[in-house]
Amino acid sequence: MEMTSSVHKGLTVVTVHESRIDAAVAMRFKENMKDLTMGATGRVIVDLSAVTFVDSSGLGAVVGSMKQMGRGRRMDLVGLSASVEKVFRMTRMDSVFRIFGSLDEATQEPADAS
Amino acid sequence: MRHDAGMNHVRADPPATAAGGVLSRSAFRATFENVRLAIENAMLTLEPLNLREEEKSSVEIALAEALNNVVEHAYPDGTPGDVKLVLRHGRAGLLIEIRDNGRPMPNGRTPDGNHPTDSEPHNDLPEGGFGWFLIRELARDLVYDRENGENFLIFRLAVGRKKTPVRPNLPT
Repeated sequence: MEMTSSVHKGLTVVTVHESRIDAAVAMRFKENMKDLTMGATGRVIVDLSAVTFVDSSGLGAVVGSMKQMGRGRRMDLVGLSASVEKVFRMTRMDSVFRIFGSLDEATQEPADAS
Repeated sequence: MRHDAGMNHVRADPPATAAGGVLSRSAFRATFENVRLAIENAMLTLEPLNLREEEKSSVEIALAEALNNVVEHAYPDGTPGDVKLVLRHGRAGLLIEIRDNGRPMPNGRTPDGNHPTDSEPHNDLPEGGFGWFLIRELARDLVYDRENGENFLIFRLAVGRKKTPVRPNLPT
């Protein structure tokens, strides 16, 4: 489960370099998210552009990743494929996360927006 | 790690019937990694049907949730066991049949699953349990039965429906 983090305009950006976040990797995704976001503060953007498929376990891992960051920290998502967007929409998780089309779009948001 | 342990996959030339000619039969050890491979094989098998992207994602999601459920609940905690998957295609769409010899469904029926709600407090957001909800939303004619220690699940996805029976152009 390859994931990297970088700082983009002062924000933590986690990039997922895998095509699937499914039951086979859900636990590792959540652990990696913990490692990659613990040291940082503030808003985190997760770039899912490479991801073509998320199942309910993968969705749970994304939700769990946000919860483990603690209250007051926002996690936004970028680059959802049609299939991934469908799973978020059907489970109404699209109303829990802020979803942007591109990293540029996401980083145009003020850094302190709640 | 070996992911293909016990994986076998047979692709059949589908007879054109209303009830559904068999597209493929496969059997594999119930692991999440093998579920991935089985889905990959299934999506390749369905390519001649020329499904729309929207239809393909419905098939992939429903298939993943149903097969993951077997790994997670029929054979919990890594209990070894096999899963059999049959794909059929007919005028009513795609029929997915899944069999296993693991634990029965709770109370002998398929669970309802979590239903999404609009206003969960941040810390109470569910991290799982949407699998059956997704299957129920996407699938029709969901049937579960258990006989002689075998779980039998079949459901239909109304995708690739044609007025005339489909016979994919397979190379001869």
